[in-house]
Amino acid sequence: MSKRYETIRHLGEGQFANVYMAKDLETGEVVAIKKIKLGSREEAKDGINRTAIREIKLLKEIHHDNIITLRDVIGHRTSIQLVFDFMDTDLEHVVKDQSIILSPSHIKNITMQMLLGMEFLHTHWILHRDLKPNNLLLNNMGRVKVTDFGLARFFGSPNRNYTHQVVTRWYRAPELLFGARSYGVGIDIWSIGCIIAELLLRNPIFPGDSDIDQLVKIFNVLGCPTDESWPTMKTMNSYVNIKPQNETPGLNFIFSAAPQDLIDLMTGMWVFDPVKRLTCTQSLQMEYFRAQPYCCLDEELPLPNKKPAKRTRRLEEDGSHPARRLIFD
Amino acid sequence: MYSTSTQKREWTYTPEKLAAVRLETNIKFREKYESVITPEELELFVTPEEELRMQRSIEDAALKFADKFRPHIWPSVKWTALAFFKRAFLVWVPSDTSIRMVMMGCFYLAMKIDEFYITIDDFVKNMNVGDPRQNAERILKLEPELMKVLNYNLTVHCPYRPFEGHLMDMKTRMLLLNFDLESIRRDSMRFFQNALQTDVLLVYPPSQIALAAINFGLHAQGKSDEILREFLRKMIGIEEDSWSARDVRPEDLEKLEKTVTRVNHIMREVEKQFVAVTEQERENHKFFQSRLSQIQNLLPILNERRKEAWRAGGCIGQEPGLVTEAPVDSDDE
Repeated sequence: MSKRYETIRHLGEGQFANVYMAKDLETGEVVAIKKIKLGSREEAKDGINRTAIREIKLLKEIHHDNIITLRDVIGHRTSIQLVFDFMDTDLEHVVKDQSIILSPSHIKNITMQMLLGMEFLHTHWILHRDLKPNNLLLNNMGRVKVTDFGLARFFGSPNRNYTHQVVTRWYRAPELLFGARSYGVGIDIWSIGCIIAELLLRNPIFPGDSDIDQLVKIFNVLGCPTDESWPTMKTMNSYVNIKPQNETPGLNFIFSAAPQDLIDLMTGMWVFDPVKRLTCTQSLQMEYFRAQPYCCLDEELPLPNKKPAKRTRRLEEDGSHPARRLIFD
Repeated sequence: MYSTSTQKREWTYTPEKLAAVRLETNIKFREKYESVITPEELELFVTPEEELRMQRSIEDAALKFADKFRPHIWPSVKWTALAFFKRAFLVWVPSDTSIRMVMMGCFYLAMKIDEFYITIDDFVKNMNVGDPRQNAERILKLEPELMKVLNYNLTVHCPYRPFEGHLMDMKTRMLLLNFDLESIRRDSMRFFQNALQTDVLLVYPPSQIALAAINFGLHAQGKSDEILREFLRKMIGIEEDSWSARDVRPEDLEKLEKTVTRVNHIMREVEKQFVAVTEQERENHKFFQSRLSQIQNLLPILNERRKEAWRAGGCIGQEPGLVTEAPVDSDDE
């Protein structure tokens, strides 16, 4: 029997896996195959890697345009390979590529796709827990997909405690930094806010180099939370009292080029009290998405080493984009 | 979300369909050897009914294993493991594998799925049969095979969470109950325990099994069906006072009646299907086990005969016994 997938090239290496670009000989499509490393005997000692199991368990249940699709699983004795959609790049590369210019309508498009994918996850009671630019993939059709469900899990069990050691530090919500053991969708929303900021600044907004420094970086931008703004703050396991260095310049100063509706969106995503933070659904209903400039077309999203697609479509009669945007009743 | 789950789509059956799948799996296994088997040998093969009885014995032993397990496991691990086990034996037959070891594999996998952290070494410390190192090796070897036979559908929706949800809902919506709702918990949990040794988890949605457990607990407290009915009415949103009752939508009433019937049906099924495993049955199980090991000893001989027949027939078609799936390259750098 012939192999279904033909390896094209090695794409990269992660902590737990090697990723290959391959051709699906049945459909002719290009796919990405993640081969879970067994590595040393020590790693394989307890059988199949938990991270891989989490990904399989969750991705088999969900299908959405803005979530990476698990197309196939190939099991073989003790190794396991996950077959995904092939994606050309990720937002980390986009952000770092100085030759790429991200226009306001590019950013609006990316933000919307991110939120749509995450809204779907959250309504299925799944927390991603590790959102960062590098986990948001982009293909040459301009489709953004959330990936890497190695830390994701179902939430909502009232009696379970979760680890707070999730989410790469720069994108970590303050409640996690304070050691919260029960948390919700707010941690993902916080990360989305950080990613939007990074699209604007082309640099991480809160690049802390320790957990304490992370809090300092956040408070320097947003000011310190107070008992009023976050009543349960002091009950957290590792709450520490941090004094801000100086007056905060304010988001309008930091994002001097961003329109007020985008500042409002970010402000809502960075509310200290997780209970009062925006949800994905609320974010999608914000003024930002109703106002011009609307999202660009997906195919207009820039990719590294690729000239932005020529605008072949005509503008609509009123001169606005025939753009991808939410329809409001 | 159950409504879009692989559980609903791929692993939920009508009772008739379930019986048909089991029969088909059993027949398929027999047919493989039909041409090379002698009538005496054929008698060793077990029927689907016998297979199911064996499964029940193993399930019974597994629940005892689960309750004694250290550290304590949460109930959903148990439910997930038994769901895996039941699903696996819709594809596999006990004659072809070690049914007991498969159950252990199901528990080990369920613990990973349910984020219950344990190493394989600590896991096998809980097994009281066999050598720990061999047990560990066999379980780890089974893991990928098990995932595959489950078609990588690893999310199992258990009734424990809907149970807590319904109970909380009842406490807030039904303020006039003159007894402590918590008193039903013990019996409801007993209901779940019994249900685990039946087919209900392959047939009904978890939230309805949870309602049945609540009703079972209410009955045990000497309460009537009226309490559950009233709760459902509130949940569906059917007004009670006669004035607004005129505006009740017929589809809501229909939904109410359907749910009530369904709940009663699940309770009856659990009562009917759950048979406490007796000493006699344990004896029978030993007998089955010895029959199984006879078959398992016979299989290599039968496979050899099939190969001979294949060679005698001029090697047409695929050689029997060869692994048919494409071997995956493991050229990990």
